[in-house]
Amino acid sequence: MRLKKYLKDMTLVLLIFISLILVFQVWFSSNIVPNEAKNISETFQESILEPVLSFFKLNKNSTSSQDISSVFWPQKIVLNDSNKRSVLYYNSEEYQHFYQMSEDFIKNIMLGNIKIKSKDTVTLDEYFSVLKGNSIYLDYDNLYDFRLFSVSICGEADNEWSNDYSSVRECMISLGDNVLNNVSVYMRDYKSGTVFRYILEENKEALEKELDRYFLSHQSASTLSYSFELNFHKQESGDGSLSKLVFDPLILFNLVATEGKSIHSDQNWFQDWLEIESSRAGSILNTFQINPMTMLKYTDMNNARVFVENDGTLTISPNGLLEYHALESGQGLRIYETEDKSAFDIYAAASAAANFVYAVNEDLPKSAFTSIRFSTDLIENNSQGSYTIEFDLCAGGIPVMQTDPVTGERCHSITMRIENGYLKQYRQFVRLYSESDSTEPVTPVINAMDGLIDTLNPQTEYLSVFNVSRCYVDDGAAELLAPQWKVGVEGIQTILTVK
Amino acid sequence: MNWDKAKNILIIFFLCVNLCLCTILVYLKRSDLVLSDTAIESTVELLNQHGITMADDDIIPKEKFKNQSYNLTAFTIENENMLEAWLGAGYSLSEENSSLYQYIYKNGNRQLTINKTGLLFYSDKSAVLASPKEEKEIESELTDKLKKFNLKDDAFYFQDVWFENGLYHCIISPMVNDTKIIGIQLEIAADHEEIISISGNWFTFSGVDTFENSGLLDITAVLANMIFLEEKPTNMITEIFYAAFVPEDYINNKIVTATPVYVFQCTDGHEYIFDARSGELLVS
Repeated sequence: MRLKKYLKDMTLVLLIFISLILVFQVWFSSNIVPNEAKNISETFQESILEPVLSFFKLNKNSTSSQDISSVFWPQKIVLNDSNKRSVLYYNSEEYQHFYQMSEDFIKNIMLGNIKIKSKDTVTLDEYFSVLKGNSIYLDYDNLYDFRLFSVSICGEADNEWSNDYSSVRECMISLGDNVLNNVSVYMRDYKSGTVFRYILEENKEALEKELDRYFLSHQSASTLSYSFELNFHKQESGDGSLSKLVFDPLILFNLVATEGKSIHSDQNWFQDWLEIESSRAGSILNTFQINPMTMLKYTDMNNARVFVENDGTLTISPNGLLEYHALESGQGLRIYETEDKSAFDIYAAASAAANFVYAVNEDLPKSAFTSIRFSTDLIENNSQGSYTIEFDLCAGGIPVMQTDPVTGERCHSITMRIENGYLKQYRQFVRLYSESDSTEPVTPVINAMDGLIDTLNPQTEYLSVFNVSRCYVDDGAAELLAPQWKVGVEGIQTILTVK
Repeated sequence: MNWDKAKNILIIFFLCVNLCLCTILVYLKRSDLVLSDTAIESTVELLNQHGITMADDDIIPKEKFKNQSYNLTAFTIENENMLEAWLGAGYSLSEENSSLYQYIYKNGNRQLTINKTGLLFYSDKSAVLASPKEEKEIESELTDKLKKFNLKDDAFYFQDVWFENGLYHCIISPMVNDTKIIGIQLEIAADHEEIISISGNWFTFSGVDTFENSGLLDITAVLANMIFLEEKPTNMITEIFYAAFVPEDYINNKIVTATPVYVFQCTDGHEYIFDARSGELLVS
């Protein structure tokens, strides 16, 4: 009797279980119901979820400071005291330490946690003289819309300083002299040319202690001088002769030859990486919103894989060149949602670009040695709504210039053209660099520039150099890349590099 | 309450429910594989109302096809023994432009020009002329000859055949798992003795991508959409079939993908090719 009862119970449980499985099968195995379910899910997302997320600014347009700060950081940090100077690049621990410290410090001022005692404007000479004393100089290398600077530091585009600045390039934290105990922050607005000084109600002790610690452990004599200290920022030199080159006052010169580390470029890794797992190309397609079920694809005679979707063509070359072109007839890939075209400005474009680059590179192999950063001026231009945004792949904190396969000219690692929220063009050199043990001599800037003058043969009275920074150049063939100089000259659009 | 009796009722109830669910499931699975007669009839009626006629209701395939794309690799690149098979042992390279992937090979009276995926072969011999009555005989011989050219008979189908100036001419296209590939073809001229000329592009099957979660549009849906065409077919539709298509623009690439299409042929030879995934008219 007990067994019969037990059997009945088991049969009932089994039947209920089978009916549940069958219901599941009916719902999810047929092509009718899932489409309906999918429609319901899409409707829910479009009508309910997205409006709610956009209300709380959680949708994909919301500026992710995480994404911006991952591609927006100082190209170099210069530590100054009255006798010594030292340049720190992104890859060093000291860079990370001083950047974190400076970032926290500026963030606290922006958020009002550190009180400003007084704010005034100073002359350029006063501004430059900050670098002769105890100070930390954050050099971002390019001009940036202040909102990008702000969001990368404190996570908010607007703050107390927003009315003072339009575009910025550097920031200086001055620890003053032996008499005053206050810290000051100096920043220049490049649009108005005004330099603001904020004297803070903050003791300099903590920052000074860190600077002292650094210089105590790095005792070698400094051979670095700023252009304004050497009078290289004026055409007329002390003896009355006219120079053919005029440098930006903040360019750093090392007057003696030094050595720099070479880097190793792995030419074949991308093809190998793609071939290991077919889904790897799939994740790239997904970012470019190319549907494998509806796309057309082919492999050209150079083994480049080409994927064609309604609005564009994505080419993945075995040498690591990733190119997307929107069709002329199509709008391109929508990477920023906006109904109001006037709302799409340089800040929105740079944010969308940072998010997109982050998404593309999310599935690529990570290397602690390489990083990506904005590489061109990001300020509002005359063609509002249409922007070209470029990024450099940096090895050991130093940008690696690529070689355009068509023109042979130097170019940045990532170039994006965005129009009114639509991606029209994307090009990325997907490269993998590693540290090398070999070092190469680095010619002093001033010697390297002599060769540049001969090459350029200027028609003008003098060449105005606004930027000189360390770089590597990857021609796609050499495996060992030696350090070079990247030079920005007024009126010359192409990227110049000299050894 | 008599729980024992209640359990019996529940067991019977769930048995009935499970039976119903099984029936529904079988019906749904079946409807995933074949078109219903009602759908076909209503489509034909709709087309008739808009002046589009069909030779017969039966020309509409009832089968629902899988969403599959076929990867095809250029014959000129993939086939290592091709040169010896086409020209015979002892061939030599006559001209070369490797950057453009252009080569000319010769062996006696035979010459083969390769231009990326394009092939141009001819044998400089005096042809043995034949009459149209010998078509079947020559076709059978040709199939054997093509095997020697590394073109297996189960990998192609005859698209067109005709006689001209005493020579047998045909156009062949690839076929993969009984699916015709449209957009790739070789034109062949032959006599009783050998192949006189071959020209065109050729690819061999190298893989298939199957998308289980995304079905193709029903053929009836694509047919029904024809009523919105600006230039509707004026002639009767005589044949409808499922195939895979490679657009002409992509033909000079190393690996191409043939995507699923529906082909509608009319009495005047006019052909409509629709993308079976989107319903878009690709070729008219």
